[in-house]
Amino acid sequence: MVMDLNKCIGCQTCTVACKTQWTNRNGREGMYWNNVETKPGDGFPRKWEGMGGGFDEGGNLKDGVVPSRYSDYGVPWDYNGDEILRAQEFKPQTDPKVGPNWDEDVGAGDFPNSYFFYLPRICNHCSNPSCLAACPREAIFKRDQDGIVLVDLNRCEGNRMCIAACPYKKIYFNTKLSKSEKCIFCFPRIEKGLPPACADQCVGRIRFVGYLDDVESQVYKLVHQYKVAIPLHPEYGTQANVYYVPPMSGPRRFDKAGKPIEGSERIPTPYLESLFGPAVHDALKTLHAELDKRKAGEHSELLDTLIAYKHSDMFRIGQPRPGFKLPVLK
Amino acid sequence: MGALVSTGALANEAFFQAEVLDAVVAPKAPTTPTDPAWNTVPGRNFSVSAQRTVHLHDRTANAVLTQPARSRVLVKAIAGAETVAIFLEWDDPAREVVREDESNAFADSVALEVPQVFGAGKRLPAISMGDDDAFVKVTLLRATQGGALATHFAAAGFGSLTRQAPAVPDATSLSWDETKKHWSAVFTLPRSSVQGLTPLAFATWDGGRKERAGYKRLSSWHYVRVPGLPLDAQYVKELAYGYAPGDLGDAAQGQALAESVCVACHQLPGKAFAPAGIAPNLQNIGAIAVASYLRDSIITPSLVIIHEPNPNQHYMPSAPKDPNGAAPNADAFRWSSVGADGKRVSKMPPFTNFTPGQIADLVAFLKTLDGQPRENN
Repeated sequence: MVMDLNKCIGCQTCTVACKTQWTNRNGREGMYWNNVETKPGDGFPRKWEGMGGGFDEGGNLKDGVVPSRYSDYGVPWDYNGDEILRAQEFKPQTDPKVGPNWDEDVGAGDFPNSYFFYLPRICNHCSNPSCLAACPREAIFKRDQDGIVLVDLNRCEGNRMCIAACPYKKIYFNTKLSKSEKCIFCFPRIEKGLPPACADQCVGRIRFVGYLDDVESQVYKLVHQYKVAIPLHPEYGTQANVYYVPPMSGPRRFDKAGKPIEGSERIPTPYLESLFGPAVHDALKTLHAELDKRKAGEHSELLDTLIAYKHSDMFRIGQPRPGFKLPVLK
Repeated sequence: MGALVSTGALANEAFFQAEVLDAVVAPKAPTTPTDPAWNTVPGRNFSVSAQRTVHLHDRTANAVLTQPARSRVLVKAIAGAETVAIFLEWDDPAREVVREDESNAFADSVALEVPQVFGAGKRLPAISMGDDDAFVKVTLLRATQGGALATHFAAAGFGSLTRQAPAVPDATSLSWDETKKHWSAVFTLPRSSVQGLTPLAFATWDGGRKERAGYKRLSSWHYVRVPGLPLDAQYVKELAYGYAPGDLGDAAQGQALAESVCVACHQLPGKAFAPAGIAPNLQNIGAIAVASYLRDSIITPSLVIIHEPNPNQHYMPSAPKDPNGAAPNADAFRWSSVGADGKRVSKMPPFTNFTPGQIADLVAFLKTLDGQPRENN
């Protein structure tokens, strides 16, 4: 999957699509297989980027931690919806300390040069999944036909080594079933030739779905041809398969007199590099060059692709891989 | 008089003193640890030591693991007409149970392991959940708010635990003593599965230390003797290896040998030169492995094939990636390969060039490795 961060408006439609499809029941209520967090920010679970896991430069699995529901994920809470009708103050029914989107839209920088952008996150369905590598029971597998990483719940014994080892913290513990569960890339939909619910419902049309070895797919063009889509934290060493088109700085920075500084970057590029690695420089350069081309009235295949005039063009899922036939999308 | 006692008998005596628990015969074996029948049954203490053979990847649990973790388990046995009950009691600073409200809480647990088959001529399975050719049966009890959650498994090495139906249904239980801060548990074996000497091993988990799965304290193989059942002299002789004078050599000589040869792949106390995971870490091998297993593993490593924990834990970053973008696993970290005949072959070469004396020295040294902090380190 490729996600164009320039188009994400943080509406959480993907989050809700995923939640209503998969995680609003059976002990999954506190899970967000898909979440959209504000960057810079602590994210979900809180400060997940400091929780370890992944592989070191030598390809060896690293230690990580299992987040706590109380201090890292947050305990789901509700509001006093009934009381508000009796002119009471609208407030949570508990005293929540942390939760998904706790620091939504906070961002960083000082006004008027503050900045933030949204980062939607799902399981990266990594090529070298560290969750899979950490499982002492070998209960996690990566499907040959489409690369989707799944937990075999019949083998999972709830030891949570996978949760410690996933550097993206995208595998969750179901305390009710005592099993680890994660984004399944809507594999029942994929098998019917449909994109995952998060991508299908994305109002900003930021999500492209296809196979990286399918040269006809837009994900191939964005990742391999134009190289504008790059993985999040490539240094985690898991070969993540969700790629992001990095956010181009929107408005310029303002000087002390309140005048825009020409050529300045509102979002510091070093910050983007800390998320996406050094490849972000070339990606941004290409994006700016194509934007300039378009401004000059020229045609840009890349920008047309990113604009996504037809939603269905963003998905090429029905491409049969060897020995696996799927219906082709109309 | 002493001169008349044969070496074999001496060996047996030392072996029985060190390793064998005598069951008490009763008409019916109790199914709970709080049954008063246990009060009059003599027990004996066996030690359990923290698992260090393989590295697991929970940072929090690993931080606790560096603290000494050797404790004792009090074991008792009552042989009834239909079943044999095994009683275990161990200390734990606090009661932790399965929780539905917290994602990183772990429950205190206990497990009993018995070989699938045993007897004269059949070697004991590898202590860590068996091996390719010697399966084990494991019953795990996890503490819950209302009692215990029992799961029954068969296993043939790391990662292979597979759920089974219980041999004796509803015959396990767990009990917490808040005053004495200890757990007690009862496991039940069908009488038909018990012989004169039945090997058993056990493990405990302290949820407060984030212990679960391989984060555990485990025992070596011990044996329960049921009065009235015949003892197979040949089997006793096999199990007693390491207890007769002359079975084991000089530990100091063995240490010198191990620290010049074995350290190439294995980690030894204070001698962790080999990359972690390339071979079993031997820091506490003496506390969990019996002498015959150590001897066999040196002379014929392929006799006991131990699976590496998960071959995906190490990959080769510089090797060409496959069509799916995956870097291939690092074969150096595999502990075995599959031979032409389809059978697994251990990566460890057979050390047939060692003299019997050197083997005995090595086994003597390895038996001293108990995972406890050592001087000079």
